[in-house]
Order: sequence, then structure tokens, then C-alpha cells
Amino acid sequence: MEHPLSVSDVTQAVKQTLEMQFPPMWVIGELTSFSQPSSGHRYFTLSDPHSQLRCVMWRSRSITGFRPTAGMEVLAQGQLTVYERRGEYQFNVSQLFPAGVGQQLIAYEKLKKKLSEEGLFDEDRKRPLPEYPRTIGVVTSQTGAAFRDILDVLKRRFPAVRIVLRPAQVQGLDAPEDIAQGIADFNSFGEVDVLIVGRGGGSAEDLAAFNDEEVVRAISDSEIPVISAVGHEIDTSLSDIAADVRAPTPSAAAEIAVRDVLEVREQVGRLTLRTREAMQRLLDKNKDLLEAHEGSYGMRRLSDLIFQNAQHVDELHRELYALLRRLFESRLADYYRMTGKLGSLSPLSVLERGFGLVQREDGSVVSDAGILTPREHLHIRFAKGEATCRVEKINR
Amino acid sequence: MKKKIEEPTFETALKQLEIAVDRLEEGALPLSEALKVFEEGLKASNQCRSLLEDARQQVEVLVRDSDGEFELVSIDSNKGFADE
Repeated sequence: MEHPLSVSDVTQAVKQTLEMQFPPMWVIGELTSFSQPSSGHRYFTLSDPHSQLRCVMWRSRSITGFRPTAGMEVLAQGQLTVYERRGEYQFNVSQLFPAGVGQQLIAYEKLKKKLSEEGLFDEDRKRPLPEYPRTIGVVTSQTGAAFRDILDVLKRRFPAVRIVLRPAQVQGLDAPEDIAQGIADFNSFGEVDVLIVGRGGGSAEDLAAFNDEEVVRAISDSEIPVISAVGHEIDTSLSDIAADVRAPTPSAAAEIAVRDVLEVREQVGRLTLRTREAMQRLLDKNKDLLEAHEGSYGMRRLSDLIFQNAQHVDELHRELYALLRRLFESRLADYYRMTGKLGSLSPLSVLERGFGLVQREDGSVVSDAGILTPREHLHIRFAKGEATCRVEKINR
Repeated sequence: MKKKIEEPTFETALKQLEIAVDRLEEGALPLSEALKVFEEGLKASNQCRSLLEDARQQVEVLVRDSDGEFELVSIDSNKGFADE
């Protein structure tokens, strides 16, 4: 006779074998003898006409959305194990659902697993959103609250952005195909920088299209980055997981899609100011350099530069060049005062002698009457002040 | 069929402005170059501003015509079309 085993040894061996042989699984059956003593743990049996399965569900696991009662058809997810003290096997349940809901959930989990294995949800597939989209494509119902919410938020945050809607049914049997086609349409149309795909909140059935394989694949296939916006904050659909960015609601999707125009304006303002200040510093620096120099050449170059540049100033920059000229002129005047020389070389001193500098509207200097057109306006700069004149007659 | 829009985008204009600031702030540019950069910077700044100023919300609907070609139809977002 071999060395006898203890009862515990046998039970341990059975437990190990059982737990290794049976991975976590779903079991469907009729709920019988449900009880929940003061400990808070639940004990029940799942039955079919031929067999029974003893189940335990610990207090730490929650049951949501329904009250389990005897006679109900349910789906339970859990792990087979052995209750050692009694030497009985039992099903340790982690999730419990009414059968209908449970089956949808199983389908969802199955699809999620499949697509996840294909890599559709991989983090490294997520594309960054453009910081300043020019055009936002929206796939949703034209009559739904979601679209209205998106328009409202965009109008407030960044009114200059262009919005293109591809209307799509978002619930019902045709919804998945319509939504998927909408996403594909934008990709072949090509003129949008980011897509918002979604709808407002609703029941699980209302949101079903966004768990449909066709829609999820269309989102992950999209070359244009996609922001998903499905339902309310608590609903997470497969579309949400496949999208580049998940927004909790359609309004939130619009918030994510654009920066606040006030912020952006401020940023442009700050940059513009820095540009002016940096230019000012450069001018100051340059002045010192020139003053350190005795020769006239540098100074002449400097004034040349101003007037030559003035030749291709457009409307927008007239003000800027006026400012620059004033700056340089005051620097030149300083310089002449200091040196008492070079006066005759400066365009300013030419003006002092009664000549005028004639410029066209675009700032270019006129040295040939032939380029003028009758009635065009000319600016004449004198040593002091300016005048705007009109061309009456041209003599070549 | 993919269309490209040729006019400068806000993003490119902003980038140009940023480049201009950086180059000017380095302080190493010769004056003639600095003026050019300054001019470019201010031009970019004006482009940015005018692109931001546009306060009319432009809303269009993407439809396919009978030949399967895409077409954009403007809608007025200020008239409660969504409630009809």
C-alpha cells in the first residue's frame, strides 16, 4: 500500500487541478435559492433541468441595475474553486447580470477582446489633434441636441472655425452603416482637420451603434483624427476606446477640438509685443555701434536701408515704418548734433533744403512720373510734416 | 479626391510669428536682416489677427449629389434649423 494522503492533501490537489483547468468563465442559468445573510455575501444556486451549480458572490462585488430574485435567468462571470472545509466545488462569481443584458455584455467583451488583439485600441495608434483646426467635421444627427451643443461651444470658443456636418442616423438598425460611411466620406472628401463622432446620451440600446464593429473600425481606419463624443460621462463605448481622444459629451468634444480664442488672441498679442521690443533693442544696439564709428558710410547705409525698405511696405505696415523712420530720424539727428558732420549726405538734409520725398500709396518712392496714373494719391514728405496730393496731369 | 487650401493657415502664421520673435530676440541679426524678419513677424501677426477676427460661424452640410460627387451646402446656424 502506498503512503496514504491526508484529506487536506486530496482537497488541495483537487482545488489546484480545478482552478488550473477552468479559467474565468461565463455561466448562464436560472437563479434559485438566493440568499444574502448579514455578512453581506450572497449565496445562490444556478440551475438548469439537469444540474445545479453552487455559487458565492462576495460582498466586495457589486450587483448593479437589478435585484436578483429566484426564478430569474441570469449570466454569471466567475471562477470555479473548491470550498475546502466542505470539500465542495463552487462558482466564485464576480459579475452577475440578467441574461439579456448579460449577453449583450458578452458580445461587447468579445468584440472588445477581438479588436484589442488586432491592435485597434493601441495607445501608439492615437494621433495628436491639430492645435488650430481650420475645419471640423461632425458625424451625428442633424436634428439632435449633440450638434446644437457642438455649434454653441464652437461659436463661443473659436467662431472662426469652419464646421462641416455629415448628417447620420445615430440609432436604429441603419445607424452603424450610416455613421461608418460618414466617417469614410470625410476621409475621401479630405478637407477637414479633425472629426467629432457621436451623439447625446440615451439608453444602452440608443448607444448601441457606437459599439458596432463597423463604426469602431471606421474610426480606427480614419486618417483624420477622431474625437468620440458618445452619451454622458459614464458611458464608455468601443468607439470611445478606438478614437484618438475620448470626450465625455458632445459639448466637451467641441471644447477639446479648439483653443479658446481669447487665450489665442492674448498669445498673438504677447508675441507681437515681444517682436517690437526685440526690434527696439536691436535698434538701440545698432545706434551705439554707429556712434562708436567715425565714418559716414555706416550711417548712410542705415538711412538707405530705411527708405529702400519703405519701397515694399504694404498698407498694413505703413504705421510701422513711420515709427521706424521716426526712430531713425531722431537717432540721426542725435548723431548730427554730436558730430556736426555728414548733414549733407542725409535725405533729411535734402528735405531741409526744400526738396520733398514723393511716395505712392504703397510706400514706394517715386522717381519717374511715367509710372503714375491720373488721380492717384501721393504722399509728399517735407522736412517738417507730410501732405497727401492727387495727380492731375502727367508729363513724361 | 483631396483638396488643399492654399491660403495661409492660422497655425503657419503663428509659427512664422514665433520664428520672428525667436530670431529677433537672439539679437545676433545684422540690421538689414532684422528689418526683414521684423516685417515678416508683423505681417504674420496681422494674418493671425485677421484669421481670429472672423466671428461669423460657417456651417455647411456634406452631401453627395446624384453623380456621387461631394457637395457642401451652407446652413445658417443662427436660424434654429436643428429644431425643425
